[in-house]
Amino acid sequence: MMNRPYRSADRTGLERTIAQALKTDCPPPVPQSEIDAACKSATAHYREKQRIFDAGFWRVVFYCRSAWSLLFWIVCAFLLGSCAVMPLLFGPDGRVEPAGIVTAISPVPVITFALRELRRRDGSLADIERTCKYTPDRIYFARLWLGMLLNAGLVAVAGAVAFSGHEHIARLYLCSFSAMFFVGAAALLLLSLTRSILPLSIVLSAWVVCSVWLMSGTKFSDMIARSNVPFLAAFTLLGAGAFAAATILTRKKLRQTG
Amino acid sequence: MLSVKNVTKRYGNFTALENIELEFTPGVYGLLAPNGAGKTTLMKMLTTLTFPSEGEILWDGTEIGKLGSLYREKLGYLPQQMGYYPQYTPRQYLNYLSALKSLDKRTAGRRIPELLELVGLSDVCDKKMKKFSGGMIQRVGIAQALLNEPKLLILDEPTSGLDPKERGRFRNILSGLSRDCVVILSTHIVSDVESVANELIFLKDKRVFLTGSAQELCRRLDGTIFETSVPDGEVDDFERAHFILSRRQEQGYVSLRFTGGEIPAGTRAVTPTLEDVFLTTYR
Repeated sequence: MMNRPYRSADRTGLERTIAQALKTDCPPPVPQSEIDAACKSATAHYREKQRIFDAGFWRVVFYCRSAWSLLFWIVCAFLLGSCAVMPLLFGPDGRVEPAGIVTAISPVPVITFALRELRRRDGSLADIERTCKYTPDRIYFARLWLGMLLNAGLVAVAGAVAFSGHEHIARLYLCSFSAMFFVGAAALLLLSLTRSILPLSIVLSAWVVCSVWLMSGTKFSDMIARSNVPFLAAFTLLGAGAFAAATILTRKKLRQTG
Repeated sequence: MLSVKNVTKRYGNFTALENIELEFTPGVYGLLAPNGAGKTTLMKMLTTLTFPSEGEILWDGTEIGKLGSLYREKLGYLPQQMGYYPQYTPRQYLNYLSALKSLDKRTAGRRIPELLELVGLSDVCDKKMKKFSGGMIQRVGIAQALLNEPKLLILDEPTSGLDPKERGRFRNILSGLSRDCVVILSTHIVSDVESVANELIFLKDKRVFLTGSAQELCRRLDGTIFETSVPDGEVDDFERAHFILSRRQEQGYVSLRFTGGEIPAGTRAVTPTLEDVFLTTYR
């Protein structure tokens, strides 16, 4: 489609004032190099602002999800799904508390995803990525949030099965999401502060083992039943805030070090 | 086009580069220095991976940090160690980077097969890179640096791991690019740049020590490089009195290329090479 020619009638009030002023006052001489530099800075600034709305940006964010990625999410879905169907395997009086296990395992997918996204890159790859138009800090920031959203989706689906018929379903969901956000935030903080994968692996393993042990009895259900929904909702929001802060910190670290 | 103005880079108390002044216009520039002389630091500043402690780097008169993505759009970079995702194929990897470089799908679809052909990887373009040799990885690296048809191509030791045939192919690629692109090639292998670089830059003691074309730099040594043959038993004494540039063992004699010291009888002056310039600069 051809652009419509720009007419004087199209001008805003400010533009008309500028046009009038240019007719009456002679503008000061400005070197061509300064005009070029100003135009380039303005263009760079404009592009910087526009980047997140570019289709290209999201193409990078989603790009090259390898077969491994798909496998990863299938495994996560299976893991959470199997927790959800445990009542069918163990029966309602079994010792396994599915709500507890879903809560315990809910942060695992996003942490594993973050580990994979952030730890498999070596310095040279980061150097190449940082010299491209889209610097990786924004891309990994977007990917971490997408990972968290997918994680939330998985927990929601698994929870729908695991918590069905439970009288405190809202409380159980809030509890799972809180665990997901807080442990996710802790994982990102650890990843940002230490260059080693070991502390995070230890924390993650300890979290799963401890939380399953704590939540497998009736104590967890009793605690959930007694808890206040607004308080739990606030706690979940606080967790989401903590995760957001952790992703911003991770992004800053990526910008500095790749 | 690209100006490095009075740039100094410090890491804490350590000064890596001092008062670097360089001007680049389209052509191939060879940045020569021994390992650890600051080549990679300079490259990293030119690619915005790190910034000068003092001075500024300008692209068409604007500071590169301020240009941001507008500058990076024009940039192709191959680091010393090529980084990649081992599970990706070259096609996937180039697709990923073309997206990062904001190439539209159609351009990427045209450019990627062209580049894979150019670096001789068309037949393995769908094989995972984890199975590739160092030379093949390096060729993928060269292809990714050329993806966005850069106006500024920065290559940090690009020929490491390439066999002689590939080095030749690479030199041809560079010659073709130099018409409208600034190519800066950092290396400590003199033969990599001897035939392709329009201008050579020698770094020494954290500063720019020498600049000029290969011929100009070699001409500076005219009449100072000699060759002679010395009996095996006299080589040690000769070495103490002269700076040896190269040696070749022959039957009962050693043929020596040298500079400095007293010129013995039977010695002939030879045409200096860039290797001689390098060795005498960093003796």
